[in-house]
Amino acid sequence: MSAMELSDLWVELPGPGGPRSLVRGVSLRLEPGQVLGLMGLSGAGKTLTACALSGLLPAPLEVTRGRLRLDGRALDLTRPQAWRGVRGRRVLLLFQGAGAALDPLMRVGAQITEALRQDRAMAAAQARQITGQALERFGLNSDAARRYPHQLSGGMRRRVLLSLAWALRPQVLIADEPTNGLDAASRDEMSLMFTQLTRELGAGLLLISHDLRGMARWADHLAVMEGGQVVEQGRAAELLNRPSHPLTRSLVESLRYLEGGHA
Amino acid sequence: MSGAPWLSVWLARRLGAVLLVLWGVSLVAFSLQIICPGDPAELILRTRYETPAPKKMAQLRRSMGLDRPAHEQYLAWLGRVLCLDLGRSYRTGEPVAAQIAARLPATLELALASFALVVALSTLLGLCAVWRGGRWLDRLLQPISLGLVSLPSYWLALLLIALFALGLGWLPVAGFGGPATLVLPALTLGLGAAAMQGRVLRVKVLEVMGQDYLRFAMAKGLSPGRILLRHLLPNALVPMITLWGMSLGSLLGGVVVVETIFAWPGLGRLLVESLLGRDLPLVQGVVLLMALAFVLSSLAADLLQRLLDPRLSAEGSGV
Amino acid sequence: MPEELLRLAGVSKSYQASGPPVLDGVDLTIRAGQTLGLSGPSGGGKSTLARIALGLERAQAGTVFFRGRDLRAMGRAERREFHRQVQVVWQDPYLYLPPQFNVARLVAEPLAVHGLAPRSQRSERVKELLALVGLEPGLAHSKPHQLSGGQCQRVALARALACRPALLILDEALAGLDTISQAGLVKLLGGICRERELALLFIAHDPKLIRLMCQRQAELQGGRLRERPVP
Repeated sequence: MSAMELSDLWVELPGPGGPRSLVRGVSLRLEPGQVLGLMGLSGAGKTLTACALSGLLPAPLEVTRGRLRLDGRALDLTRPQAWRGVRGRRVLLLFQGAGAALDPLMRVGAQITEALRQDRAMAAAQARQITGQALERFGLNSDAARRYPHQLSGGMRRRVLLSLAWALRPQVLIADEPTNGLDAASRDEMSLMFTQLTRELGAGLLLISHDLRGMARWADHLAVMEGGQVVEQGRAAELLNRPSHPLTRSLVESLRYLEGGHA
Repeated sequence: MSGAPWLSVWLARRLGAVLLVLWGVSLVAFSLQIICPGDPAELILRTRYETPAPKKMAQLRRSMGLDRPAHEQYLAWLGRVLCLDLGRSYRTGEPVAAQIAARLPATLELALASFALVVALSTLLGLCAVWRGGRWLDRLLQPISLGLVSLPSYWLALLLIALFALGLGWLPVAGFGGPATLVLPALTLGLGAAAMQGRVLRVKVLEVMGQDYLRFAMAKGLSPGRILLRHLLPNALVPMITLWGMSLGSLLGGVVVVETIFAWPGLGRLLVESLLGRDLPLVQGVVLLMALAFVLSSLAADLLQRLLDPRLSAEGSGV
Repeated sequence: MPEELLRLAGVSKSYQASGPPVLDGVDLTIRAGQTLGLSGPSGGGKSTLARIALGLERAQAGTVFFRGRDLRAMGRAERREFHRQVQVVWQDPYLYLPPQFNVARLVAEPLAVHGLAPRSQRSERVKELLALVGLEPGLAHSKPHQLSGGQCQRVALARALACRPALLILDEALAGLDTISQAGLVKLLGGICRERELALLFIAHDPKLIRLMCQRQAELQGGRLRERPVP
């Protein structure tokens, strides 16, 4: 059974000259414990797809069609109420700029605990215990829970977000450019932690990135978007070896050229 | 916070600055005495209906120390002020401190009522921008608040009197006593500042709404109420504290006009009366008190902001 | 040996009185037409080095020479000439390209500032420059926010090249771009540097990009510069 099946997602921007479709009929399938890489140039609709997949589209944009299947239950994405109890609990979106995703006025432990308690009406003591375990799982000691975000390094803040994902145990994890602005070594480490987390939770990871090299290394499946549509998708190895769409071909060529820097 | 040594360092530094400011104010207040035309001795004699004969005046001058050089006079005056001896009123001969103490409660009542209004109203105004059903209200309030910011307070006072006292007859035109008399003066004093800070807060709220941590709070699945109370409000309000602190000080300054219009027996009117009667010790006393209130309320606001924002406490340590 | 352009001698910099220095006695020479790649961990002082080399920040110790002249000893005119000859492209174009100007104006600005083309020839020069960096002429009237990150960096590059620099500094200019834009810009820059004998200081955290672009490689770690031998 797949972790998530998205079918026929449309996102439109209402305007005076009629609505403009920015995402047009996107269908994606995530398998448990696997990574689906979503690639494309900027403006292709990757981030909009991610936002629509957690009901967080900014104001004038709306989902006009789309269904999401999560362990046997179907959600109508055109209804914002459908997200109650799903967002954060079963689908968790982590977006770019991990440094700014934590509230500067709240201790990081409390930011994990509040998410746990909100979703499951969990006892405070238990939530704190899970928070501690989660931070420990990503190499942060219990002292880190009492720190404020600005007291942690960028790398540590990213680990806090991973801990949060681990604690919430979503079925679907969406990461929008999680490695943006990192140096090569931290980027690999980050990708590795994300992949491990996905496998450990048995969640499906939708990884959005324009860094094709990272994708080629970490994704099990790949989907390429252009102009709001998925133009090609398949198993990563096959797609990279036999790209058929012109955009995919030029992506793969660019990748080969940059990888040629090995010599 | 572990012992917070940064706090004492910061406080010591700020208190030093406060003392410096107050010293400057004392210089200005004292120099009134030197700069103002007219001889205090003559003034005193005239208010006592005595003829200012040169001999009497010279005697009085000597007894008041007015014949000594300015810097000596200043030091003597400062020494008395530091012992809370603000001198005696030229006109009534009563101690200035006692007169101020008698008028202070009325002014405090007015200023605190306005301050509460400023905080509550500006918060409401600021939040209209994000409340879904409040879009039309927000659009309506924008020009109104701009109008309130730009209206001079004496004009606003007349409008309020015309509307609520003369037109509708709900509230008394002027006077002191009971909550009903407090409403119009407090509105006059606070509306402008409330509108101004509502606008500032609105911008701040919109800014916080666009921050990643707020979007992430939504992505975590938190309820709208929790997002508002735990994430949006604290982040938007903490930077407002400084502004509010400063507004408390300027409200105290604003009482001069408002108390005169509404016949409110507070410090503002005392200041006007003593200015008109050239009662220098009283003027000096009120000015010093107002400066002290302004400086201390700013300091308290800064301190509160530092305690509430962990990023500032870290910077304050100077590490 | 080609003429020496930029030389840093014993440059040190620290932002805090206590704590480790960001740069600790850095020596570095770039000669005309040479390409040097500079890598190192985040916070390792790469950008500080770039700002010092550009004369935007002062080192606490050490000297920066351009064509053998101490930057501090330069007069106004000389300094102006230095700022023309050393150009930079930063990481985030949306931050430093003025948002209210269109592409044509952005590229024409340096021509006007340095008096490099009379008014009548400016639009012609702008067209050439856009063609040189591979931007369609149709984009001339677009503003930065209407362009993708890759297109913006091409605009920034056109602005830099408009000055006919001798040395180009790229501070993480390719980071955060998509793969196609990265590959396109690497090819483009390689060609331009060779053709125009433009010297390049290429700062990147990605060693592969450096290997593609540069003859020499150096690493900055803990404030110290270590040059790796050319393979």
